[in-house]
Amino acid sequence: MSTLRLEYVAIEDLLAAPRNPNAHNLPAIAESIRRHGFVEPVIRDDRTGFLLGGHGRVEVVAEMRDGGESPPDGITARWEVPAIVGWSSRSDAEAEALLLAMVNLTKQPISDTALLATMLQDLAADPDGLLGTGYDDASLDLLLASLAQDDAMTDPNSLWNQGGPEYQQGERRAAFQTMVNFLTREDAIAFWEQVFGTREIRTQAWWPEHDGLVGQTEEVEWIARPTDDDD
Amino acid sequence: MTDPTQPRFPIYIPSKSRAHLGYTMKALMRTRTPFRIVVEEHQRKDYSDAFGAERVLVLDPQYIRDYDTCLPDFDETKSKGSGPARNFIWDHSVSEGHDWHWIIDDNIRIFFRLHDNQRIPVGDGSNFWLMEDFALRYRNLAMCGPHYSMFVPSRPKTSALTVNTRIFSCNLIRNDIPFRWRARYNEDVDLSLRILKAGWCTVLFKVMLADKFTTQLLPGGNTEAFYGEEGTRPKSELIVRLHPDVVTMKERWGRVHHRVDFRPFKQKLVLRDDVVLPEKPPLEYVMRRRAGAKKSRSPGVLDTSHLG
Repeated sequence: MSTLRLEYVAIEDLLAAPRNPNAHNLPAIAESIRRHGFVEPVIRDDRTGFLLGGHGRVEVVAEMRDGGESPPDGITARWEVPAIVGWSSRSDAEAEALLLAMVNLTKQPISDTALLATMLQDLAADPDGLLGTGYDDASLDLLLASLAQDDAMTDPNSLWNQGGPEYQQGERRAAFQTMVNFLTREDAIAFWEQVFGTREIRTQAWWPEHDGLVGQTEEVEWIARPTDDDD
Repeated sequence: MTDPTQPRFPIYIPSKSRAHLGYTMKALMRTRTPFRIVVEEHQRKDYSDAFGAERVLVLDPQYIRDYDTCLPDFDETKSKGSGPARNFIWDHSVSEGHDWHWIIDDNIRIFFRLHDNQRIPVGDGSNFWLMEDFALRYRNLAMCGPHYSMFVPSRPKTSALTVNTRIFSCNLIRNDIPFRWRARYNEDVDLSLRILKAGWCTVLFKVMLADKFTTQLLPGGNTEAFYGEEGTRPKSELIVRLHPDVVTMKERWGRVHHRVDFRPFKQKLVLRDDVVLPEKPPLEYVMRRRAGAKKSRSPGVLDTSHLG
């Protein structure tokens, strides 16, 4: 079993994984690191030297260094960042599986938006309280407004009918679909002959005609054409 | 008050090797709806001859070079799809000072309004105007568009629209959102998901519909380059890799399918502060059927002349 250790590693020695589907909000990460420091270690695969987690933070820190900033809290004067080391993948596939798991399992949409709004409101009591959280006053305002919407804002027909042209779907002109499966093609042809008086079976996409408006019938495919066997 | 028979925002159609077909172009010309086509330089003449030079914009090749296919080992000799043209269109719309833009696939045959289980062909640009009007009511709506007619049943339970789902083929996009198109395949799913994950809403209209030729049926476009040689597996694999939290892939009946779970996106639409919803639809919303249009399969069965 591998023993994990926390080490400070130069950012040049932390290589980006060859494939990483995760995009990063770099300005928000930079704002967070400037406020809170570098508090979450990155994770490195000892076998490959590639990062498993922390790509965005390493990219931001490199930009801060190249931009002439001082090292933020949590980073050494030589721009070494805390990294969890000691884990080695057994294959490239296993490394990518862990990378994807970390992306997937940490990026679930927030389920309790009401609690989120409460926590953000508490932070926003301080003028700089939202700094580095990835949220700002505008997004908090929008979140609160969303929570305040009544049920009409989730009902599709209410949404459209509030100011839109009339929309209703009555029973009278509805089209219903019946799916019939036959054991053999001969059974299907016999059914078709009984109902429509023809051996030519088609599937059709249609909606009903009625007085004054368009009914449209489209041939989609023939399903009972004579085959070579029939000839 | 804008003209309710015309879209407020520009319509763009990225197209490739389909100057001889041009279904969307013809549909819009029939309804006197303005649009522009974005093509590569070597096809400019074909499209100019077919639809008029004033309607043709040439794609800046830099957009092709800069486009992120999201495929690290991508063979640059292969087609990158319509994504580069989509980003060119977005920036072109911004450069003209528009707040939103329409981007429509080139295989739409006709646009419908659905009401009382009837698919009523729309005879002018009022369908676009109505969807724009809806979009402009909300602070947090980033993208919307009509559903495909073939996916919307004529049933009593069919709702007017779906909130927070994939918008495809005919997209009205807010220009100031911090995204651009990417990925070689499924770029519409990817953009929809990135918008939703950032907390914005999307709306797919069923009260307004688009009728299209099935993907992979028409020649030209990216059909041959993508599906002819490669099948659909790379397409599904890419979107699963980009969004493993909400996209899963399964192989059923010998084919690869991917499924996107939009259920986690529960954000509600938020009305703009200055919007007051009318109790009754205003006069300009009343879409009437033109007299004498019985049995016609052509568009133009709606008459909005009473609006002017």
